[in-house]
Amino acid sequence: MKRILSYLLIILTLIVYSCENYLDTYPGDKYDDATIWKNTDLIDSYVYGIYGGIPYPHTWLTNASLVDESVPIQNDGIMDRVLQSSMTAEEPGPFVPNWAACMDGWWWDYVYSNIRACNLFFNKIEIADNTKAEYKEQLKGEVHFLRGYMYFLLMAQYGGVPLIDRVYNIGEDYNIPRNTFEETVNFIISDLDAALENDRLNSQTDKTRATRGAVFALKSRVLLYAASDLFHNTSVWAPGYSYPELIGYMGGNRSELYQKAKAAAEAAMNLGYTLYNSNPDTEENFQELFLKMTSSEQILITRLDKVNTYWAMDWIAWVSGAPTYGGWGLNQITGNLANAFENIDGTKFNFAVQIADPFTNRDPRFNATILHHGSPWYLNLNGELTPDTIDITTGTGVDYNKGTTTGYYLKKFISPTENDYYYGTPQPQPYVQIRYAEVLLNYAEACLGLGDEGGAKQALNQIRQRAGMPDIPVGESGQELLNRYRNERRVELALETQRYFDVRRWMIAPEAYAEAYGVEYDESGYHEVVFEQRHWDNRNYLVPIKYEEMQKNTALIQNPGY
Amino acid sequence: MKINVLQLWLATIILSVYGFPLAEISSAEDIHLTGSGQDRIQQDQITITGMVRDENGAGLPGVYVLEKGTTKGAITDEKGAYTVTVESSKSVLVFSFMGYNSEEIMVEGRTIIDISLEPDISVIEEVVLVGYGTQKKTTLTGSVSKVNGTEIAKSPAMNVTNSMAGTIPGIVAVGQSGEPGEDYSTLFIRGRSTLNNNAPLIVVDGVPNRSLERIDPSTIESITVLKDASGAIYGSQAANGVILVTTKRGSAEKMVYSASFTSGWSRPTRIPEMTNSVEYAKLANEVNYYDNRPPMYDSAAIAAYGSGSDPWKYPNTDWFKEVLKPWSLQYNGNITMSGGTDKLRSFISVSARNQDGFFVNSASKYQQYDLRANIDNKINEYIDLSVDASMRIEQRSSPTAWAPTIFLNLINALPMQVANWPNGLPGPPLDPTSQNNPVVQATPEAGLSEGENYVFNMNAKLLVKIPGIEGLTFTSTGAIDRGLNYTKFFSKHYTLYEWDGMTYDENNAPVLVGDGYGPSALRQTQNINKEYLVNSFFTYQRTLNVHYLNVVAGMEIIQDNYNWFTAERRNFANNFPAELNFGNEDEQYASGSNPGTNRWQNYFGRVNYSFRDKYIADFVWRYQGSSKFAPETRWGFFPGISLAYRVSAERFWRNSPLGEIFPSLKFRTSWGKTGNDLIPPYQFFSLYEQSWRNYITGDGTSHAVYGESLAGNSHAQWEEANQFNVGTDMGWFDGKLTFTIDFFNNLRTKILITQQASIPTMTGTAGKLPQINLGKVRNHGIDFDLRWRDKKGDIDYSAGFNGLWAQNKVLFFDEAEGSLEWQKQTGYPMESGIYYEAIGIFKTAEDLDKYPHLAVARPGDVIFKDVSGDGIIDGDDMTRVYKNTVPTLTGGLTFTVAYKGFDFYTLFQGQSGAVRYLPFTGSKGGSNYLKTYYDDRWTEQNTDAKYPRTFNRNDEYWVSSDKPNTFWLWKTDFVRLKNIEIGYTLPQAIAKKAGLTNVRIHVGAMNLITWTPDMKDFDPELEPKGDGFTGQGYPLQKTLTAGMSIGF
Repeated sequence: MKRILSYLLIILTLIVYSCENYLDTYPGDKYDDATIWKNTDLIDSYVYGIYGGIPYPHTWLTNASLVDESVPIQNDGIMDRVLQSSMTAEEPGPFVPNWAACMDGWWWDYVYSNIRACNLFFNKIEIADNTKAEYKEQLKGEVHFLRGYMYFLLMAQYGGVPLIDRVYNIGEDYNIPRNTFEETVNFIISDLDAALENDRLNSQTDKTRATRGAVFALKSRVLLYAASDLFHNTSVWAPGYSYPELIGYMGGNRSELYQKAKAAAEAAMNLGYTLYNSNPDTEENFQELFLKMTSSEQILITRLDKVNTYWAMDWIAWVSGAPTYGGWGLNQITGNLANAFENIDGTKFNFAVQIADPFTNRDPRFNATILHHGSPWYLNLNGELTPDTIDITTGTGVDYNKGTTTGYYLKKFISPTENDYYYGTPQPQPYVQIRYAEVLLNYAEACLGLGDEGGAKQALNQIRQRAGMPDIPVGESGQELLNRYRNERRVELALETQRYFDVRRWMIAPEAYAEAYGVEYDESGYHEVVFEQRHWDNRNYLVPIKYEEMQKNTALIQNPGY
Repeated sequence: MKINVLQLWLATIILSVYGFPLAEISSAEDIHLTGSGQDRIQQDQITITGMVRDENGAGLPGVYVLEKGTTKGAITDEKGAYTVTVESSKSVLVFSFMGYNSEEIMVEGRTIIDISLEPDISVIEEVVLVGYGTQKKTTLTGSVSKVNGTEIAKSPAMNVTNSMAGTIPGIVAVGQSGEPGEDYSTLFIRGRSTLNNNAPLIVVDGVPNRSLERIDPSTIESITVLKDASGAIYGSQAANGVILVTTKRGSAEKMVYSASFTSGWSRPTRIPEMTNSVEYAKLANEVNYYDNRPPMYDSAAIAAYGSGSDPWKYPNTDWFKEVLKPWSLQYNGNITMSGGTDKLRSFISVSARNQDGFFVNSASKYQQYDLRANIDNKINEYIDLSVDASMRIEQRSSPTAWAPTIFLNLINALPMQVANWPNGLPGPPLDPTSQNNPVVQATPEAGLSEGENYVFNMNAKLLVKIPGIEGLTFTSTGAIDRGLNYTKFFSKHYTLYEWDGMTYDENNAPVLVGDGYGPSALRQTQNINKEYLVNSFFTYQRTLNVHYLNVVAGMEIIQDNYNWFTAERRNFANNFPAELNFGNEDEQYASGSNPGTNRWQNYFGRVNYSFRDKYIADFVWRYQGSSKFAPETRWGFFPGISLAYRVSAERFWRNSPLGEIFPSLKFRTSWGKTGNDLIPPYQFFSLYEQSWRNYITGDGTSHAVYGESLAGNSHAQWEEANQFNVGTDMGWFDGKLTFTIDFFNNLRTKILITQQASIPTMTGTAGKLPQINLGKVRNHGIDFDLRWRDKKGDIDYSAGFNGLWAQNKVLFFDEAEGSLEWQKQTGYPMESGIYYEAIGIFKTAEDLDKYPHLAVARPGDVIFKDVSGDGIIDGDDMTRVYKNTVPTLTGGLTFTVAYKGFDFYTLFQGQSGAVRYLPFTGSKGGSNYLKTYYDDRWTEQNTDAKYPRTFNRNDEYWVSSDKPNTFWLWKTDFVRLKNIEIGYTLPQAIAKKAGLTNVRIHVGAMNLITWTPDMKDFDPELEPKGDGFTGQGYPLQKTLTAGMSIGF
């Protein structure tokens, strides 16, 4: 009797004793603060995560389908909110999470989440005592660039936004008001300047991360946006709005902004970048520019690898590629964009006049960007590629593979030899986020803003020469030259997420949101058709802050018209 | 932890079993039996002989015959005869036998005493399981419901949770799906009380967190539900109620063998009727008419669809008919062995069950094999050792396309699309992006997801009666559970056939062109769960005169450990087997593992005292620590107290007029504090998680990415439940009629919620917010159970009626600062959705002028109420509808009749108060319309229609996902004939001829008839999955069964 009790007591005591730290368990698949910030590799991993927040525009539907570059085939009403100017704060179309995913890198929640990641980095980097001081400095520079990039994304969509530069925790007052547009621009510029402080980035050459060139290029873009019409004419497009300082400058000095934009572009131009020009065939050269893994034109790139990323470059072939190739053609090029490509002699293209043979003798970039009726391409049958041509002839049966909506498919970015999209090998090319051509265009636009037409032409002609186009006529100037510049930017940077914002900041949106054209072909030849009628309302210049956010933070002020 | 607790526990067992000096205790023989031989014969001793008979006059063997006040006596022999010697002629003999009333007879000089014993109804008194012990039902203080395994076994449901609806008062079982292997009901005890996980704690044979749903029903002895504070002994896991499952054990009788086999034929309880080609063409034309476009189908085409003369060009496909079988087979078989001796008793059961899916050549199937062995070993008079082992193999196979999505496709597929061409080949894909045709997707042609789940549950229990202290026992349990889930998801290339509509071969037959679809890939997933438990407790139980005392105290530790990983390769050649090594090694992907460990450390106890079985008090407690919380907050004390008063045991009551009205009456009340820790662990850490995508730097290296996943809340704790219950038990006609009713009022505080409604996302916290103890919910209601059981001649019959009404109310919720009054959640039932209020249909153009409306509105559209009253319909007009998918009123009605060899059982189950949001399908060229919609839609001719004008899903504001509105909110009230079974047991004589002891045949049905006033097209219990589109769910089963069981 006593023995059994004593056995039991001994065992029970042992159990209790052994259980002293019994309840201390740790998550097996996550790290805590103490682990992350003591390990340089993990700090890198953390910063890469913020880089991952730089948007990649070609997901399901693309940003180009929100403007007059392409047409979203599976519209489902989401894209129409922009195309028909019917966005509201409750239903901001593509600017909140939804299946269309075309702006997912731009979503308010997502961008602010990355901004928090930057702020948290600045909080914690000081405790990283296992990381070399020099490297810490470089990382700080990179994260300043990233935070600047994130605020640029917000500025372009919303105007002035709350500038959050610290980590918010639970239990705080969250009624944070919006900063003015000017403060927002200045904040971005000061972040970009901080990125360059103390020569932090001087030894950083990896183009998937922030380099000095990337900082200057982004700076020129931000300042150019800030100098644009939209942010200096708020009384024109938002008359009666009580808070114009949130959406534009109050008597800002545009020359000064252009001056700074030009200086930033020049700083980038002095870093040795060149326009890609390796293939004497100008059409193939322009196509290759987006397929090569490295080139001296790249300033900031995103490398995508199918094994680890979902929205990889091959998605664009799958989602937007021509059906003969095995794609779905969900984003089809508009006639508007197709028609913007000049003739090879530098004259304007005119569909009505050239209707018999609209696709020959065009800007070489036309055939490098767009697949049209008769374009040589490939037929993908069970994974085998055979040479074929695009056929948009109407009435060729029920096979949806032959059907087409606008008559133009995407060719830019799509490698003609990497057909095994989806579960196949990844296309090896990166997505070029910032390239030298944009810097030259930014420079040209700043020159035009300052009245320096010579400087502008000199930069534009570099781009035209590389494209295989004649120089701008010597006598061209004024509005004509401005229009030429705008068209040049449109075709050179087509489908690179520039047009959506360009038509807004130039305030030419009403013409961009009108008729969307397509082309049909039958036995009687080509016909240009109005595919759909789009509609513009000035409130569409900026995106509304979503309804839920307005309810949560009562200090917020909504953008005009919503 | 350095020392393995389980090993320590085993050491305890070995030491106490073998280290126990058996000699020390073999002393206390209580009864000196004297047979015919006597040791000493004294002067005035008398020898008495006699017979003991039962109520039918047959001799009763084994009856104790004792001389009162001594330990002398005898036991009756096989014929019921006895001989006993008593001290004097004034002695009193006590005859006692289990299950019979004891009799005391004065000897009064007689030497022959024959008596008959009367069966004692009260002795067959029910004993009810409570935490770490049992209690007599009469003196039970808590609110506890119980259902016997025999009743569970009446249902042909493959899943026990589906058998619980309507049978246990206080349980809400919400059906989900009928898919083999995925068919389960979500259980809520007394409805829902928290904004978080409402799952009750499941304890099987004393081991928590085992699975209830897949347990073999034929091994269940009983299921007991602790509904109130009596669960407080389970502490921080008990707030949602506790379900205790006991499995069968062998008795000390000769071995009994039995076998049973039941087969069933099932089909969906309800599938919607869709429009045919002609009807659909009309609708599509109407859409174009409203859009000012030319008709999509001309009259010649409509006529061709109608005549059906050219099935190649003008098909009229009934997709449900093409893809679903009329009946799908299921069966289950079971063999049990039960019995033993005093020393060794065993219960062994082997079962197999098989269930086929609804599809033709179904990829969806389920098989289950069960083995259970419960062994009880009486080592000596003081030590009992029980060892239970159960093993279960679950084999699931399902289509690679999600089954609910296949049903969605069946609804979306147009009647003019081809399922199978007239020559038998499968038709083209439904649409270019999904690239599938359900005729193929539902079969193994497109690949198969095959899962095997192995479950091993082992536990051993040591029970030691401590000698020298009467009523003191020591109980210790150790359990090891393992779950291993292994899934192979193999998607294959498949071929679909298209016809261009104009190419014919030389025999004038259409030329079909086959094209390959679908990626080929194999993904293997492994998921392992390990759990162990060790507990030890002392029980002291003593009756002293009128006092009864039961004290329990003990400790327990539990560990739960899980881990999974997946591996994948792609690009398999078409005929390669589903093994990873045949995939392309350049395309292999392993997504990481997800290990985790939860631990609990507990000290618990109970004090139960009753005075004359009249006044009863019960106090339970648990002091519990959980590894899910920070060291500062992880320990908590959970007490529960309950009191009962058996008024009818009072003499004054029995003699009063009230006593005649209420011959049996007990009042109960309880209060307790319990917790709910069903939340993701480690809310107190700031955590960084690996992102789903890597980052590739310029040199091509792929880097793992870590980002903040949780902004920690170091104060996070379990939720607290304050449970109050008051109830009464009544009985009439000697227990033939019983009635139990309970009122409960539960206040759940410190509910862990994330403040996503109030913290703006500009703080960057979207998806990273920790849970905070903020929410507050009150849940109150009534449950009752009314039963009648009687025997009239050969007819043994019973009826039962039980029900639950539970209503919850959110007392504090995280609301946005600027949220509108009519959209607030606080003060109303939780999880109520926000909708536009549909108040009718614009019948005419004049109607448009009467109501504020959206600019796009036109006659035939749905009218939204201008709730904010500003003349504009916008987000401000959405209003909270205080209903959700969980019913407020549920109940069941049972009848049983047994007459001679026949037995009959039926269960009706019903619910009310829940809603389901289901907008109709349909769009031009995209998805089919429901026939009910076609029949009563608004047209310019039919302006009094029930449904609005023909629409394109998502184009019209009232069927767009942007604008959920009450037009599509359906009441899911129903009453259904849940189970019905008729059985016949062959007369013993006939069975014996076949060498059997028992033969029973039965036929039955499950979900045979369902009445739903509002929801006509779908089963009211079908839970829409995924995006919640109409019909995206695998329908529930209606099953007809026939079976046989034999004993030998």
